[in-house]
Amino acid sequence: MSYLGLQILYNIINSIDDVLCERVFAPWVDMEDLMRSRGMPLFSLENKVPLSEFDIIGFSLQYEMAYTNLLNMLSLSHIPLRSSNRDERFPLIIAGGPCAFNPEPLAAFIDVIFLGEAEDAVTEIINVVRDWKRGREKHKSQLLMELSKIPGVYVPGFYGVQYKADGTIGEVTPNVSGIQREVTKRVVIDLDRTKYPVKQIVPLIDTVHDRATMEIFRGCTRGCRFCQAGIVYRPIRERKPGVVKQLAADILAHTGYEELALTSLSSSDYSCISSLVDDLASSLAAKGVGLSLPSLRVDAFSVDLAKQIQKVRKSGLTFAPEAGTQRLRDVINKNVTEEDLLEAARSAFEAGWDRLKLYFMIGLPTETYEDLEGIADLAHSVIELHRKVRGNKTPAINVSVSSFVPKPHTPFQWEPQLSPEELINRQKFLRTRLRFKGMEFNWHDAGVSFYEAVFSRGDRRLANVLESALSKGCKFDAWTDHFMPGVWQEAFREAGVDPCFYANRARRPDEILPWDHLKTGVSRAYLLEERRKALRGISTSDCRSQPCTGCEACDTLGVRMDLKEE
Amino acid sequence: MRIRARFRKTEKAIYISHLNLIRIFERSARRADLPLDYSKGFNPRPKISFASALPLGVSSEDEYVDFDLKKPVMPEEFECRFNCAVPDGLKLETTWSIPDSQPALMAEVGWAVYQVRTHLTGGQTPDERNLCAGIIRGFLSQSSIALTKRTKSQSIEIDARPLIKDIGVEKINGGLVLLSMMVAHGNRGTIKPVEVIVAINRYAKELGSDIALDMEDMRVHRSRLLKHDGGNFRHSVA
Repeated sequence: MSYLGLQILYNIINSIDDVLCERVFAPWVDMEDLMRSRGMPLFSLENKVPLSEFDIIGFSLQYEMAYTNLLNMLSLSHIPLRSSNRDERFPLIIAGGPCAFNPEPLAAFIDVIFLGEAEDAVTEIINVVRDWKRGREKHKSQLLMELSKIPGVYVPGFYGVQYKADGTIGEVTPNVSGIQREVTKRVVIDLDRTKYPVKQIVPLIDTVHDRATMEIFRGCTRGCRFCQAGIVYRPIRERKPGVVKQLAADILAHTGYEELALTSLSSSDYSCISSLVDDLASSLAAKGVGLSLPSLRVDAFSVDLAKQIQKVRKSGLTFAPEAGTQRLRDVINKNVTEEDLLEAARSAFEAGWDRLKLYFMIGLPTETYEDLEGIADLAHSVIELHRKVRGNKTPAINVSVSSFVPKPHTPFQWEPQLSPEELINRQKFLRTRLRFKGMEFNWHDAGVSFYEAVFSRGDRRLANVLESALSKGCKFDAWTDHFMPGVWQEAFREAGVDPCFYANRARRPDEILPWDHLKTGVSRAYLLEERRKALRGISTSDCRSQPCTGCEACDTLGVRMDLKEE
Repeated sequence: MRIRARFRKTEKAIYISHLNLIRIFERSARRADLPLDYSKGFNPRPKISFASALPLGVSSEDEYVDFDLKKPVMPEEFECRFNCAVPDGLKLETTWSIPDSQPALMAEVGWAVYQVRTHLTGGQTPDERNLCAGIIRGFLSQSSIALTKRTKSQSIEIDARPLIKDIGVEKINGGLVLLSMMVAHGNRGTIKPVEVIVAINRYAKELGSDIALDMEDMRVHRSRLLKHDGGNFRHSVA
């Protein structure tokens, strides 16, 4: 329930007169065992309808390590996994979300992939399905052909992939006439006119991010070079503060939530953030509702903002410097200085916070052990600062380190990931440097990061591996106590696929990548230029407040950046 | 001002834990635009107090809760608005205002009445009703009943007999058993229906009987919460 897109689409689809939308989540392993032993198929939450009785099943591809869960849900529903084994008797399987920008490992299993924002397209898709159901042509291929005409829709079955002798891709081309070579993502032009869910679902049990969610803008142009979201959600489109305030009031009245989160990729960058927070914080405090501002940039955090957020109750504070030295931060274009971080930390401590979370990544391109020392130095400086400001109070500084995974459609999409062994070495190194009172160190399992890198830049040849891993019992791979690296290894070996080819191999700039035919609007030339600048440690500015940097998204998509005034 | 309500928790709402129930009541009050009062300080909590925490899976038609309000609201209006906002399976049955001086619900609770629906396992004879009733009569005739109470940190042995007021066999029909029991519940001692069933089964086994009450598919319903003196919490309308 933490995914806003689910609420957005659920709301839009259910407001269509003759269409019903229900939710389903993967059951936990104990429930699944019970269901399988009793022959109970997977069913929807609301009315307990077996999934196979729906016309369409939509999946949001949020994370590569959830792919086995997706397949497992089909299996639990007695729906054939492969698209080619499903005829018109079975539901249409659609997938969207961030990983849809490289869905190739799932191409064999999904009927229709949707790229980008579906607020308008979802109705278009439903209209086509409805017409097809009423019409004479009952063949699935006819339905897929009609759907492929909708901008943003990618039917993987209509494309063939050829491979070269060295294992790289020769070409990706349509194998059916009338299909475009490339598919470009859909973008919603005016967020103020787009239907936003006011009647948000309030769970009766504990869930993650159990609060009212108010999206204040979409997109981010800070240009951090590792970040896929910054590329695929361009251009920036803001909601008017008046619209935000009205929506927020309506959502709180409908849900009764005690916390409201202002969400976006970088909320402190919102043009009217100060006045919005000022206005909201007072009216919310009067109702005993807390305000939460996740995704705050280090260089935009201030004491004022801190004080406003904590008016009712303190939510957690997280800063993401990502790299330990200015040199490396310049490489990744995370234009944040040590002063910025310490200033932000000081603001937080002065406003009474004792707990802070710091996010870093290891394995970034050009990283050396000097950069890792930098992480430790920064963490220590923060702890020192806490002592200066808060005296003897025990700080709780949590340093969380993930491993860099090169993502498609980013300037780093050509980079290799470090081997799991080297990632583990770097984690060990940091562990010795971060043994300090008041400091906690978390790191991500290197094995999971490795497979994330494999699937993130994977191609269609991973389909057999996925199916095999599933049959061997792999699922909930993002849960460390269920992740089975040995079984994955076996699945790769038996399929004759080398995972390192995907994770650890540097791509040649002229290589055809599995996702090249899927367009975000940002040009390949721009990504290459960004990569070149990265290796030289040259920064790129933010086109929000600085001149256009030439990514071409606005022109390609026919949408302008939309900033609001106070 | 303080409003006391008797509420029921039934149907699918039995799967809501007590901690989640508190949050659901808080959110329902907000949706109904009811001015709940909050505690001061670091983490403001709504001033909602329950007589007892219902275990997950147990239904009830006689639960009690106090709400502290910042501004006065007529109890009828409170009840009406709250019931419109609350999820299915939860419902305020009666609502009345009480003075702040009234003792806390949790302190006053002494007894609870439950109905337990389960079935017999083991030897199935035509005379099941008599057999079962006999076992329970024998169980109650003991002067003391040893029971192990487990908390997170320790296990202690207690005598459960004084905590069990009575057990009645309401119905036995083709293996289906419906029991009612009145047991201690509150700050002077608590025993759970499932603990009573376990003790009965152990007693039957010690007798050499192979009759037992099934615990897998057991349903428990609380029909009454009572004060230490046996009086009820219901609002008497003058």
